[in-house]
Amino acid sequence: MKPTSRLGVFILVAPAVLIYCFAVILPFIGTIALSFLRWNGFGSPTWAGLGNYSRALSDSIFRSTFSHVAIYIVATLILEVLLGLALAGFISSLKHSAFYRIALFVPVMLPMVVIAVLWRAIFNSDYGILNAILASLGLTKFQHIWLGDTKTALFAICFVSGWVFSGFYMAIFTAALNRLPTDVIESARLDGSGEMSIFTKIKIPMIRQVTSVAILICITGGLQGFDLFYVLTDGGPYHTTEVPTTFMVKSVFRDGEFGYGSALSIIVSVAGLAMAYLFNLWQKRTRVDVEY
Amino acid sequence: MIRRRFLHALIGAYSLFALLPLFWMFYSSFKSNAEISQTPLSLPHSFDFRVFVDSWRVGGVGKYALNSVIATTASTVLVLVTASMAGFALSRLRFPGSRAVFLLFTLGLLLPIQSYFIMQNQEFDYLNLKDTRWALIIPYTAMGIPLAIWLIKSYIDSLPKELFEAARIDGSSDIQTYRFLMFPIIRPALVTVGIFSALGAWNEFLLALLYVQDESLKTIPTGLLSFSSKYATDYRMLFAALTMVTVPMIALYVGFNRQIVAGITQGAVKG
Amino acid sequence: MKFRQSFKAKMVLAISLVLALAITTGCSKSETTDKVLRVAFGSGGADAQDIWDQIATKFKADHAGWTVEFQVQNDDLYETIGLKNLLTSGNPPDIYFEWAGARLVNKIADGYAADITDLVKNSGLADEFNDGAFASTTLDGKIRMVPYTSDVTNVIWYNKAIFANLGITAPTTWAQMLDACSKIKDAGITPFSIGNKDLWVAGNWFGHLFSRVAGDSVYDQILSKNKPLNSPEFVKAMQYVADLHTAGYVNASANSITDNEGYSLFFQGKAAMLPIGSWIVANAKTDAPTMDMGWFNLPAIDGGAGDQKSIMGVTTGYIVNDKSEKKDMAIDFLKSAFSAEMVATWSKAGFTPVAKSGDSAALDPLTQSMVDLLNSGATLVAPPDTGYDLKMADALNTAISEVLDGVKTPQKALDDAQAKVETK
Repeated sequence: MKPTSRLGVFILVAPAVLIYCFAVILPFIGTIALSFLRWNGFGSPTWAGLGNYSRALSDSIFRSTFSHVAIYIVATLILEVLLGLALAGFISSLKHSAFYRIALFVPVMLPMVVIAVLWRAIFNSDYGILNAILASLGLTKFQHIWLGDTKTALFAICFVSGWVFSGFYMAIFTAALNRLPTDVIESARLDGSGEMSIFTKIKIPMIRQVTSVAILICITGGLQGFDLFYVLTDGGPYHTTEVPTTFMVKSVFRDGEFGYGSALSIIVSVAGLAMAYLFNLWQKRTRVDVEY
Repeated sequence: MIRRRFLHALIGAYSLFALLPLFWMFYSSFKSNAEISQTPLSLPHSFDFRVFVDSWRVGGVGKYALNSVIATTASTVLVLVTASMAGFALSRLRFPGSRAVFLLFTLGLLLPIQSYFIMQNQEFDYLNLKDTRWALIIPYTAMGIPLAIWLIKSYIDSLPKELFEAARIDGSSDIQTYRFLMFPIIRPALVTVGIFSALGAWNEFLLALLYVQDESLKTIPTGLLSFSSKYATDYRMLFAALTMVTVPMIALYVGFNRQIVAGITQGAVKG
Repeated sequence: MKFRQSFKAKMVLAISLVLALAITTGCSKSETTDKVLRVAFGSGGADAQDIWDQIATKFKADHAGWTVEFQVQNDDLYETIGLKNLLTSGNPPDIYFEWAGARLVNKIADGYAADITDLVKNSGLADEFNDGAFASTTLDGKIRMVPYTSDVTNVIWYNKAIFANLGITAPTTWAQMLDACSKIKDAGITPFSIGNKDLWVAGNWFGHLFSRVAGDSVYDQILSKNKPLNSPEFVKAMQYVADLHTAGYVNASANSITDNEGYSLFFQGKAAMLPIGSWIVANAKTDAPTMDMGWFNLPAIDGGAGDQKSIMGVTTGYIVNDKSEKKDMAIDFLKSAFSAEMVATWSKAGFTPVAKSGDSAALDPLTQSMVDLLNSGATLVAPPDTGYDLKMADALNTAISEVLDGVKTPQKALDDAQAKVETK
């Protein structure tokens, strides 16, 4: 339709555009610009060209953040998406499942910082409950300095993440499974297929679409993860749980390297977008072959 | 039958695993610090609620909660109002530049927070917005707008266009149409958007950490973090504080779980 | 028409309500009335804020029409980027907290530290201090900072009861200390506890050790980047850290817990010794009021190149911003902050102010002993993080934490740290 008046359109659209441009688009353009400068927050910036980018690529700590985040993403794909799918499969086959659906989703509701502070208390090696439980079971040899040991710190973070978000993916998959048409499933059942094979051979392929979105959320969300890492270890011990976001925040807000930090942020953002794009491409290409 | 029982046991155990840490946090706030560190699993002997009063008043949890309520309410209201107006215009009105505006907002769906927060920090610093309530209300609103517009626009797109044509024939202006026709019928979309933006604002941490140093303006995530460093080993106080910020959320969730789960999952899947 | 107006009116009302709510309840801070004195510092806790509020009240009473605005930040943030942001912001502070040493020198070079020599002398502010109090804040004959506190940042605090039970006395040499550690460990108690998650705690302790082993001038050269971090002197000093790890004398959780959690292990008697600064006296008052604790300076190291009685410590102070238009007022404010009466109040709260106090009995005996130690005339060594470039300190402190956990050898850790310093 044609608008009744120009002023009307302006009144409708302008507030959203203004706030959004002020707080997102302008700073985004500014961050790109800043990534080509060298600036310590004081005085006038100097031109760095691609200097910040080449430095980022040769920065061994920054490069290591990508392997840490890759481990985190793989672990959360298993502990969150895969586990969430399994839970949804079980739950949707039960009649009285309201309690489970509610209980499993509870952690999703809480601020990540609250969760991280709670789990820091659980993992604390001197007073924490985890080591106390192990002791009371006579398993003292499995006691660990969970967040201070390079072998366990990253895994501990993945574990907490799984504790929170398995319920989230369970909810997504449960909703998808409940929307499935019943006739196909009924006829398979009449053919004598077992519940397990109905789930893996019929239901999972039918919710393919949702699964790929879930995987995508898990990957892009993982790349942006900050709260848990910041509170539980802040990248320590000695940078072994450092992820791109914690490192970026340190570069800017501790070392005062605005240009360098901006370059890091652009690299991470581009990496995220590229992964999302590639994932979409791959998904489109393979869908044809699998479609029923 | 046996299979079903087995499934119940399996999922029941997992649900317990999801709730146990929260339950432990809750009852530990009734124990003394010595009991917590020596027998962390034991149940409390008595129930003394004064620790909650202490951490609410002395520890400042009440103040953090109020700040969170203000930041969340203000930004959610702003998102709902601005995004529903823009979403309506972008869905139903053809005006020059409408495609460009829509593309601009779509870009916002793709941009992660890292791609702009460094310069946003400088901008807010320069304008003296840091350590005011605006420092969180503005970015929370701005970050919520793209997804809100997208959801609302798709919802309006799905409505029959005769509805709007009829309103036009009755002589209603666009703004009147928005107010009297749109606002009531897009309520389902607004609920989804509202839940999604409110939870996002309630839980946001990174920007709150960077933009608000003033103790009296901190929200729950950053406030609780400084609480936890102030009372690093006073577990009783810490657990009381954690309990007080989680219990209302859980209560709210149990009451509205259908809407909330739908809101969060739809928001995430479509975003 | 009527509909439209009432709707618009409602919209305007709704939006302005939200905005008003935000403005009135959030202190909007951009008043440009020029009668506001802005004072910036990192948060020192509720006690300190209480004292500042008293000072502000008095200042306002003395100067009609003037107000004081405190720009308080989380202390770690203030030390890193917070102060920088404040100085370049629209409302920069007139007075701000800083550490003497490399950081003060940088502020002078950047043009943010006024030459206050004449103001200090003519205003009578100098009378509040003993002679020589301005020595560490005077550069090239110009006073650049008003000293606030002098803090010892590292001695070794010990639990007197544990020492007495095991028949140990405060050691004076490193060898005696190791001996004491082995007895403590045999008794099932952790000898040392530190909470090193933020890295500066071990950096502070072992920075002191490094200066003792390598010599304070070599320490200064290395941290000032005139000599590489992996110089043999530092590698040798780092071996002492590695030995403590091998012997298991430091709490294994060191790198995973915060400074406060580290203190707590000591306060609860789970560890016998705590290497930290004078501020622990204030913590002990609230967290372990009944505990009997003593201290000894870092023990002498056999064959060490430095002054074996050296003290690690810092002087802090307030700088008047060279860009401020209110320098007279700033000095007046500092005069009321460090009047004999206020100094007594500072002391009572556990701080160690440099200015003269009218009431010397106000000091806690332990705090007094710290002041005496500072005045004992031994070489003063600056900690890596407040005395030197922060990136340098981060590199060294990370290396220390790696050796403390035994994940790298001294040589390897310092080689890596040096590589980090070079690329940045």
